[in-house]
Amino acid sequence: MSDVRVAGAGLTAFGHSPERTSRDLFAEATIAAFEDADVPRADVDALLYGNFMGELSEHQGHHGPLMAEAAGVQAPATRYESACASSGTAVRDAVMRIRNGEDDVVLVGGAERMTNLGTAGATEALAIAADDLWEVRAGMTFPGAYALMAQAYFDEYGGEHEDLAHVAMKNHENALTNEKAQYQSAIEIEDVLEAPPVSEPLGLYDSCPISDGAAAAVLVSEDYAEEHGLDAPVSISGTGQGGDRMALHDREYLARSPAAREAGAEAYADAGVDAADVDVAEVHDCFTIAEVLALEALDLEPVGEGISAARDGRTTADGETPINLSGGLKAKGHPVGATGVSQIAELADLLAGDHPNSEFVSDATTGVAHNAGGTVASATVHVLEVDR
Amino acid sequence: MTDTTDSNSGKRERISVPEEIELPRLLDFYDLQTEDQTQIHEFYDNLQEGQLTTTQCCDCEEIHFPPRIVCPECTGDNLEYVELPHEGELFAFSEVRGGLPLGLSEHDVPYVVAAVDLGPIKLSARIDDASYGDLEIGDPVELKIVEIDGPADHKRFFYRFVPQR
Ligand SMILES: [Zn+2]
Repeated sequence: MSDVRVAGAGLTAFGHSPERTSRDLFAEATIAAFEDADVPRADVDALLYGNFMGELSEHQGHHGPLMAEAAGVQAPATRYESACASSGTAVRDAVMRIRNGEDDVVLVGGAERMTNLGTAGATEALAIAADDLWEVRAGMTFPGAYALMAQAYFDEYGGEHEDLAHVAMKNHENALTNEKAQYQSAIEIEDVLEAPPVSEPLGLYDSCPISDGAAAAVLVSEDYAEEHGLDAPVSISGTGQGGDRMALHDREYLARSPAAREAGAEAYADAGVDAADVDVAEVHDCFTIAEVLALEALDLEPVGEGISAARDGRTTADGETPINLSGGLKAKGHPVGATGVSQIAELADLLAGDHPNSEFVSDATTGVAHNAGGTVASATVHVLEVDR
Repeated sequence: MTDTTDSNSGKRERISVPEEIELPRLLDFYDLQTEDQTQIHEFYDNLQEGQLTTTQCCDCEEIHFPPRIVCPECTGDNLEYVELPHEGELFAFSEVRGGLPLGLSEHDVPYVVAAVDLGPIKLSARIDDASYGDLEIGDPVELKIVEIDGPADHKRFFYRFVPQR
């Protein structure tokens, strides 16, 4: 079984570019990724591409061949859709293809064009990640579902909105130096607490923004990296995927994410590490409460204690285990189909010392990327390790 | 060398796209509810009769909501409809103020949405005649059956809940 290396990665800036098509965004990300990787396009064996709402936002299906053209590669190409975990599932399959010897070089990526729909339109589009007949028709919205999780968490373990505000503040702080981030601006606790409510108890600043953007990474087998003398110090050493009942109401606990726990346990075992080995993580903070649930599902915090992690400084940049040094979905932005691969790109840069926030993790060897779909009915987790 | 000058640049044909496009109402989102249209029509038949029901697996006795066609626990397909309580408790709830999905725009925001615990199962539902500040987790709620207006050639029904007085 061949080890999988991150040869290079590239991102567009995340943010507001409603006039640009997703193919244009993806082309930009892949140009950056190929430059970074120093791998010729002709060597690509497959493109695995994540996208969620292309039919709604661009009247476009069949993204595989379209995006292969945009990337300038002639290789079989497949689109992956698992709501907000779309490109996380693409990364997982890329890792497995390289490991089993099927492919040596896989271009993995994703893109999403959302802001052209407007805020209402994009929020509406996100709702299709829920069960339309039994959740959406019953009045459930995407922010509404996470609001239920937050309320259930407070009820079961305690905590308050101000704890969540620290998650938002931390992630904005982390994004200050990230030129790809949608928001490179600091926010205060009061900004979060005084923001208009979206779905009680969550407000506008508990939510990630609506974003356009693309991400790409060139993954290669260790043999390929050696033969071609690539500078690829970061490996993807563990992969895991979990699933849960589609509807949030169909779970025993609203404030736990078994799919993420399952994915994390599988990825840790696959990499031969455990939670105590994790030095840094990028987790799926589509809402502030989601970061808390992710920390607990990944065993980075005991169940019921993740709520205080940001407030008490355990997950801040100078904390024990910095979380979302990229700014996370909250501040960096969440172009849905690009998010899973962008987490891999940020983490690889953080570990390799190529990220503006690398100084906070200069001794780190092990990082984790957690990508979640819908109300975490699907989740992928990847372990990245760097040669030191 | 070919002539690449634009032969009719002075009088190009104009094409146009509309400012707004009206899409046909391909979907009205709620399930069509008759025997010809869905294998879980019995759920809707019972709802029309005033009963909230769901499927229970005859093999492993697991109760599911929504009604299933195959049991996800034991993969058996020997299911029967059983009655659910019409009263339950708020398991968690929120007040929705924006971001409404298509087809729900008729709802007046804010409205309360909840996971309602009926005992054997939980379900998502709107809580009518209620506001966020007046509710607490564990509050009792009771079933309210509503009829859906819309483009179907048969009467259709859905469920909501209201606080128990
Ligand atoms: Zn069964």
